Amino acid sequence: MPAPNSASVTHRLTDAELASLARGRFRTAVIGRLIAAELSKHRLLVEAVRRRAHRAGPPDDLAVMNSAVRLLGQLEAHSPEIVANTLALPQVGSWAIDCLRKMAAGNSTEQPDAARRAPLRRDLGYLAAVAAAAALQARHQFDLMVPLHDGVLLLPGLGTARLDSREPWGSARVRLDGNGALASSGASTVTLPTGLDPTVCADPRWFPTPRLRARADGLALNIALDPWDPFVSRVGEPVAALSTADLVEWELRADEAWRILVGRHRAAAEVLAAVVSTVVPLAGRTSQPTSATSGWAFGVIGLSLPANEPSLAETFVHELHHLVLGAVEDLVPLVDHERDDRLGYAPWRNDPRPAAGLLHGCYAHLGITAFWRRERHVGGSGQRLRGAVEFARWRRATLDAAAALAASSALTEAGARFVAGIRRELAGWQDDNLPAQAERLAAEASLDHRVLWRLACARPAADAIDALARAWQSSDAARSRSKILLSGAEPRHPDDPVAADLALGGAAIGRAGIPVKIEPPLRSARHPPAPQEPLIRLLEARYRDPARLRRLLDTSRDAPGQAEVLQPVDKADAALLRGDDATAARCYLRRLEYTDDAGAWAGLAIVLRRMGPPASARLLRERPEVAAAVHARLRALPGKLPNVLRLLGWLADAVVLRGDHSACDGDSGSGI
Amino acid sequence: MGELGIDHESGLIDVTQTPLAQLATLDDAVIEMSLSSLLRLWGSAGDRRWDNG
Repeated sequence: MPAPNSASVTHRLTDAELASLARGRFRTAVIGRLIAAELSKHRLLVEAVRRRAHRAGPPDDLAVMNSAVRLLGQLEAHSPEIVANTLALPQVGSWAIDCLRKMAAGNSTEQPDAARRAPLRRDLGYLAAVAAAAALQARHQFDLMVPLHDGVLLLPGLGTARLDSREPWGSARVRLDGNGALASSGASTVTLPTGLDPTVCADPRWFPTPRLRARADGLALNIALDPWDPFVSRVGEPVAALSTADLVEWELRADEAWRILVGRHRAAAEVLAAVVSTVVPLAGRTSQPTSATSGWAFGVIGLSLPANEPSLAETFVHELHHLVLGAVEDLVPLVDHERDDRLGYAPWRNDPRPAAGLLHGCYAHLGITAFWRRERHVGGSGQRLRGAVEFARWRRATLDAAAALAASSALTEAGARFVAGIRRELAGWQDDNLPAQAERLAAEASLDHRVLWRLACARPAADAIDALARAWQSSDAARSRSKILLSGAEPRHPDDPVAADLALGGAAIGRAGIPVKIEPPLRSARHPPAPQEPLIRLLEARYRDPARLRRLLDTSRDAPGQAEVLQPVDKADAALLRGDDATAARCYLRRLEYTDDAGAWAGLAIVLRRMGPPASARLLRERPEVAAAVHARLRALPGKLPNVLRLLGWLADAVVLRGDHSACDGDSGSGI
Repeated sequence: MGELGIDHESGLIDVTQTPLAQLATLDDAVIEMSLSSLLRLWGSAGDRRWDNG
């Protein structure tokens, strides 16, 4: 077989394939080509590491690398599939990048790096572990020195052996010969498995990597559950240990999640089975699951176990989209990172994001939206409501984020086409009919997130805030009172008509047309993420876990049997959730008398959305940071505290909102 | 429209069927050509880690 040269075939995608992927339409042949491209990437990265070690590393390191590559080459002659599967493991890509970075940085081969990870010499030796794992599967005789960490021998994809070495960074002799497969270090020896099934080994010091297995309608899921390998576990904070009970819980939930995916999301399930080789179980509470992927580790998903099977299925779809997009980006640059210097709003994160992050978030949420579009028709009323709310929330939020992203100058031509494809797919779903309740719950959750984010990240110009504060102080509106403080309205259902007694008496003075410039966040600047206010979790619990919400509202004590402490719910939030908007408003306004309380502004925004006045509601939705900044400025000045509702009504007339004036076109709500 | 995909000169070459031993005989320039765009592209983008979207 000829070696490739400069005229060799490259991995490519056609326009039609890229357009199809952009719309989240996975075709087996195209995904197969992405998988092949990732394998080429890994093979070339291994060779690049070997060459750089040859140039920069001590002879001993090079000898280890050469032995491992030579063994893999020998295996290829008779077991090419085993070698391909081993080199395709996500940890191989992650390992290679780590080595290249350390060598480029001139790291010592003997000392751990700044993150206290393995010294470079041990990282280079990891390839020996990769080769040994492949040779054991192929039952090919070999004899290699393989690194140990705290006496643990890790064979990627297979499992771990515990030897007696007490050195933090030791090594073991690993061999397969006429006496069988053995790992030895000092006085201890462990028998290793051979063949394709690493569970076939009687040595009690051998621990095969557990696997998640499921089968539905002829399609199998078979992926490693691996919190131990350092080159995949860095996608997040892995669990410290996996008990038998943990494994059973993962298996049960994965089994049902797999049925959901195969039954109603067959294309995603097929791609998941082909792409994902490893799950890293992450630490985290089931009520706030976390998940992650890395573009350098194609095929691994890190995730904490979600509370239920639909959430696990959703997370699989979510992270699968990140993996697919990462593989696309390896072939077709979609973002010019030299120009990616502005940050923007991502409705799924508390911090401002660059275009590259927004693109990934939009693509992942395209997948999530598609998932719930189907799931909203399934199950009992609670499950269907959840599906409808998730679909309503993400179809709108993702389309808005993609529209903002489309205006970014950081997108390449291909990136702009890709984003256009995402938008086109989402646009086609906007008119799907949904229950009004689902739309309302979705809108309120989105509103809470948006207000908190803008309060944390959007910075109105100080001179404009001063001008507004001075104008307010000189106005008649500042001297009259709102009816809200006198309101004694009874609790009501949130779907009731707008309550008139919250409306301001009299018109705010006309001062229309004051533009307030909002600077888009710079990537180089430090932006604290929006605070994790409990209200968003409560708003989401209304459709994700209503039983938990009832417990939270009914008691502020610890719930027996719960893994976490149930925090008492704030009085204003509780009133809002019960539909007692007048009480909620009074409590939020009281909180604002004493502090610059972001959570109170967000809650008040929801109250105003329900009850009006519409202009004030719109102001608080579009420019909460302006209202909060003017309010804070006035609180700092001598004189009476401003009446918040009256101030909002006045600002609604005084401030140019999005779409009203060209001076605001570049704000961080519409740009990135 | 024609094909997109990165330029031939900077593209990821297909070595899925190339024996590892033969990869060692490749010119440095071929390896660099294939990987440099990836490493340059992502050198400033950290670990390409995407968490919670």
